[in-house]
Amino acid sequence: MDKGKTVLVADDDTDIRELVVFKLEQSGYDVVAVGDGEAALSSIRERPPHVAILDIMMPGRSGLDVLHEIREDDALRAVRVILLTARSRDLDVDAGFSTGADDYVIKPFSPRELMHRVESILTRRD
Amino acid sequence: MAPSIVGPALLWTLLWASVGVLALQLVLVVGARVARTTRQGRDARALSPLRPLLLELASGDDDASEDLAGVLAGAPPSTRMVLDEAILQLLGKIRGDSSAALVDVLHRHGRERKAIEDLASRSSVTRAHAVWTLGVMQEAESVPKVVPLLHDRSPDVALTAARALGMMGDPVAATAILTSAAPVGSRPGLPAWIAVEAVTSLGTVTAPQVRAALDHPSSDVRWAAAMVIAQVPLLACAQALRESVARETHPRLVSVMVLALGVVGSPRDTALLGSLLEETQDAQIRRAAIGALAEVGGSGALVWLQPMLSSSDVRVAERAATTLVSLSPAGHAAVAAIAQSEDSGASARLCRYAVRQHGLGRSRAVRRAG
Repeated sequence: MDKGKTVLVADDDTDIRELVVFKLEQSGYDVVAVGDGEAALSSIRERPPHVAILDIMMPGRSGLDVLHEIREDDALRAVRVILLTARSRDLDVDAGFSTGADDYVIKPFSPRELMHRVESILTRRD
Repeated sequence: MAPSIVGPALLWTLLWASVGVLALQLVLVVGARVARTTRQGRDARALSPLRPLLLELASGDDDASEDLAGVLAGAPPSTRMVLDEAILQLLGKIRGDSSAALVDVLHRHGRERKAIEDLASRSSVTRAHAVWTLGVMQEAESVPKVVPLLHDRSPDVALTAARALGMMGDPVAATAILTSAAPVGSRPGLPAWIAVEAVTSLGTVTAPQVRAALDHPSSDVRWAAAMVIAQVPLLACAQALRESVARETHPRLVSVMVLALGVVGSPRDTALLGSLLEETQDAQIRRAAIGALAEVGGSGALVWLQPMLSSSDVRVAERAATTLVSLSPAGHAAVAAIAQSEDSGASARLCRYAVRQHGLGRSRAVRRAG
């Protein structure tokens, strides 16, 4: 368990956002939740999280746009990013990793598996 | 003075009638929105005491799942419908143990029995919702009841039935899904890509059904079968696919089968694929064969692909150049040699483009790694 570590969750689907937030808080993380890409980017710039879980298809800026901005900004270099998306084609996964994602989780997803991925990324980071 | 065709009184009447119709439409739209918002608010209020329990159950906490499922199953009848809909919404988004726990609550509410009854509803919306419910609940026993809806008079119900059968996970449904892509009389069949998506989600166990579908009289079914072989991928169908490639004549079908052979084939298919590069073949087939050769032939594909750089069909030459630059160092060298020549012909221009694009891709990758 990584108490005190911050995770940002950006997803326009209320069900998924609430579920992921619930699971993360249950595991002891500090969680910030937003419903679109623009809000995700401002939150990340204001208070860089340890991990950002980004949906790709969001209103306004997509998760890939947000990821691109994160990777272009040296101040955000340490932010680890997991893309959580329904886009499951190989091309989409390639695009996610080549834009700089640390992990890629396809919806429908297992909340427990997502937690393992977050823990794994934080362990690698440490 | 021009004669008046319509009197001013009639014009005013028509104007006021139009304004009245518009006002009525506005009232209806606003009324529908208000009703929907009110209903959503009422549902949210009814669900709010159960929402934390629902999230906890969906989160996959083993220790508490039995107790939580019990509490949710015992929800008062007035909130049961709202709760079931919220569970169905969640089920489409999660998988694993947590989804099994949610399905358990729906079972305790008798939701699958209700859905089976609704399959015979006169409303297409109700039928579509019923097949979707059985799909997300992964009710494999309901497969025989859902299969007939693949030919439902409503295309939306047929499409939802295919997706639901894909979710149910029973490979027996694969034949029915694939063959539903065939037109029946003047009525078009299920869109082939929907059939592909549904059968692909059933996985490798569908190999016998997919292999059989390669011999179906409908070209839409054969196309869908070839796509499934490529998507899953189904290695067990490789031999049947080779025979189909040799037998088929329609460019659209041959090219998708060649694409699939590139996924499930082996170096022994190099000669077959090479024979499809001849100038007499359709350009669509030749382009597919170039990609497939690179997949199965590896560096051995060079001898087949290099002559394609000077093809009179610019699309074939372009595909050969972009494939060769990333195939192997020898392939890259072959394209680079033409690119660096003084030649100003189409082939040389394509080679320069391919080398430049390949270089850009590599430098982007290096920058990212740095």
